[in-house]
Amino acid sequence: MNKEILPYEAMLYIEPYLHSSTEEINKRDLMNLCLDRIKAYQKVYQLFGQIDQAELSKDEKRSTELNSKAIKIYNEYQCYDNNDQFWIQDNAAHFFLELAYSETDERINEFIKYQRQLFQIRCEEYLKYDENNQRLIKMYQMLLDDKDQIIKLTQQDWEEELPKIYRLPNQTNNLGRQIVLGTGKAQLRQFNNSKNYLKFFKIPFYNVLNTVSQLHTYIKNGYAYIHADELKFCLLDVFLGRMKKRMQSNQNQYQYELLKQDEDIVNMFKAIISTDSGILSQKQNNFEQDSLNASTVKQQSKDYFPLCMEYLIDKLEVNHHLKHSGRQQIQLFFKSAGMKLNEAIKYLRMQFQQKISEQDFDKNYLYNIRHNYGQEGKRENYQCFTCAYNMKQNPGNDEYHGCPIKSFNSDALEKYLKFKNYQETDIKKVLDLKKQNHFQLACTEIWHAKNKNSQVNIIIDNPVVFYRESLNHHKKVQLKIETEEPITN
Amino acid sequence: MDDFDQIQFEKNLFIYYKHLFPIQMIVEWLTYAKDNQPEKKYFSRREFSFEKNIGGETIYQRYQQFQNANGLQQFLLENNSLDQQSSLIKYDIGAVFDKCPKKGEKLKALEKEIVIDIDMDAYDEVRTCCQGAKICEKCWKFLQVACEILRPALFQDFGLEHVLAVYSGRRGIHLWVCDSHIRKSTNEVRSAIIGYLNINIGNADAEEIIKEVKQDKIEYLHPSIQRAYFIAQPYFRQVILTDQNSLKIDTVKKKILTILKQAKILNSKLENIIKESNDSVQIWETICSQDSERLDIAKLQIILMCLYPRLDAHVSTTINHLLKGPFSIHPKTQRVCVPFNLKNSSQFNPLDAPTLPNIIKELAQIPDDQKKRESDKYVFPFLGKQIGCLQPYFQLFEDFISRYNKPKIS
Repeated sequence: MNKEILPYEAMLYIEPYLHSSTEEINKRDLMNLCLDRIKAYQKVYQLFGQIDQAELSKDEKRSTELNSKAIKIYNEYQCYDNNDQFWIQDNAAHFFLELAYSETDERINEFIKYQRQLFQIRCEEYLKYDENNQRLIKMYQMLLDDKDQIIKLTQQDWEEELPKIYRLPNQTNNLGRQIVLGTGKAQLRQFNNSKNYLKFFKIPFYNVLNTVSQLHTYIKNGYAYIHADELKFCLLDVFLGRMKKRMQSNQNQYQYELLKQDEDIVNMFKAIISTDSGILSQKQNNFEQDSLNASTVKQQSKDYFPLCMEYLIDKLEVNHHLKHSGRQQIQLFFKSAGMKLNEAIKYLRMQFQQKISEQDFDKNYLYNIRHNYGQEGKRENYQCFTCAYNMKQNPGNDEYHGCPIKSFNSDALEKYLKFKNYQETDIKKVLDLKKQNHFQLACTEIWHAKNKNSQVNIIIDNPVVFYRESLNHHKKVQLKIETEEPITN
Repeated sequence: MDDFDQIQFEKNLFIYYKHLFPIQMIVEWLTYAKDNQPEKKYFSRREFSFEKNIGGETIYQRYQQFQNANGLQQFLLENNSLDQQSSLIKYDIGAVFDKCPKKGEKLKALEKEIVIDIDMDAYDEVRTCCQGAKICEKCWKFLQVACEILRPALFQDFGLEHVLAVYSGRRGIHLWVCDSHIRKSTNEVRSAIIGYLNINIGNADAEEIIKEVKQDKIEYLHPSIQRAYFIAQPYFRQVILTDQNSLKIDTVKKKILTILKQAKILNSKLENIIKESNDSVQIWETICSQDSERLDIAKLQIILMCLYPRLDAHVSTTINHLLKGPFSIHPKTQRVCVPFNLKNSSQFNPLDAPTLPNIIKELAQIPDDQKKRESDKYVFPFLGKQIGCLQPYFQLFEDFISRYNKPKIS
């Protein structure tokens, strides 16, 4: 009866497939397993939190180093092992956490964020010596439940079909027998060795979405041609996609509602969630504050807001309009920064009204603001976009969202900072950090320029952190002024 | 439109929905009979939504579903009845849900075409002939180039077969991608497709103008970008340099300077010419005369920056996004939102699209006895095919539908 547990099957969490061999785990043990995992997740998340993924993929040494650090953390909390007993517990804890985090989309995304790192690291270790990609393909097939979903390229495909495709008009002889295909690392790589087809696979595009949207792969007739190196990353997407679907479908299931009638289980869920938010000190809580309102926004943006928000406010007050992405970014910031809904509406209406009528404003924008504040539709508790998200944006024409430190060219950034009256020395520091691609550090530099003489050591990973730390600093300064003896000469 | 025109417009709409709106075809299209057995009640789970004008106020009515063409027409006519103060301005098509909606029940969107939406005002930065919602024959060429670039991406790369191209009635186009597996796709799949089709054109302050172009040589770029370049290139001289003289625009200049600077081609002499000249041809010739191995890649970036399709991604990436259906009447221009042949987009001139007053006039020529219906179980007789200027568009639409439902010969 006891079938051997294959790690690659167990780590895919396809279903709690170990039924027969599972002994009952008592609730207390399960609880401890779950809480330990969360601690490990968070430590690893913080470890990678400061690092730009794109940078990391270029620096192999650094990446190996971080991976082994992460494995050490996972080990410390019993998240990383390789025996049967471990995998049984691992699956049990994982599925219980899935349930605990299924409540809202926001939590689902948080869990996915953690799980991404764990799975990626496990995969990388497991696939280290996978010469013929046998293990990788097996994992894929388990996830997709369909053996036809991944096709090896034949020599015929390679020699006849592909080179023809690349003979675009005006380019007949340019490429010859060389083939340019995506491998993920560099956008495209040239292959002229005839044995290379062995490294390529044909997969329906909808199973490798990230490489499709980022133009990492060649596509023909709905099939993506993918190099084994890239396939690893694709596997991660399929795995997380399946997990997300499973968690989202929990939300609407009767069984899930039934489960939540068990008091013990509800208490366990609560303990899990509170452990999560307890450790991450920078986690956003909603707070309301009266000081941020329609009439103070402008001044506060100058004194306390990060550059991205200050820039949006500037543009809004000049153009009396913001495009969709800009509106989203500023509205969610307002919400997370504690601005009340009616004040946010009042402020935006005041600005937009200089160009469009009140009715048009209400018709076109009101619903969206209320939605962002969780008052319409799904009533989701949305949070301010993170720096990581903002840095990925590509503001187009008339768009001012995203991270200006990242997206501006140096000349434009310098000009804007000068316009904002920053000191030359501060500007130089910011520009230097930008040149080295340390955008968040540059943002911290701006924080220090706004909050002179602060010794606080902060990491800005969310615009709200910038704002809140500014407020805290300001309060401290105020307090100091009030408590210090008045200077009399 | 003043009040009198508004009343006339609403009167005309009533007649249009009665006799000229191809209601049977719309229903037939959205039934996708090839994939759906009648008992699945596929059509009747489709959301329709309406923009109405009630006593001068605009309201939206969402989640309307209909059993058949007659139900839909009944709704259209009731809401446009002439003695009432309300009228139905436009209809939108939404998703197919898991069930017909009842109050308080959660609906789940199961299927929806992916619609690629391109509006002309996205090109405002590079066009000089018109701005905003205005269009003319000159700037329409931007959308022709967009169609040319998107066509092979959709048909060859993604292997799609059923794409209905529709003029939106004012300043844009909608490409309805109807292939069965595409309709069923999740938001993630939608985003990925749009991500593949789109390139990010940064604004004038951006560090990189086109993010997707990082290599030094054209042949190292993704094949779809190379292809877009080869398609756009022949149009560049006429559309950008001659018709629009786009290179005289300040933000365009700024972007060109950024591109040239990044490619390390920029020198002070070149910079001066670009900054001072108002003649796109002169600017372009000067750029082309520079001696650099990165000149080709810089030229590619400039050409794509001007001509690459500028999609409105938000419309396409969510399954339950509503969109104005084919053969609506655009309330501002009164033009009919007619389909056009994607393979032959240069033959379509939006300014020639039929307008509501004209087709109503032509309808008046048709004798009244043809306009009666046998009983209220049926829709009113469809007379659209007798209207000369509408006929070819109905033909296109019918061809599209029958091509879809034709069994595949393998």
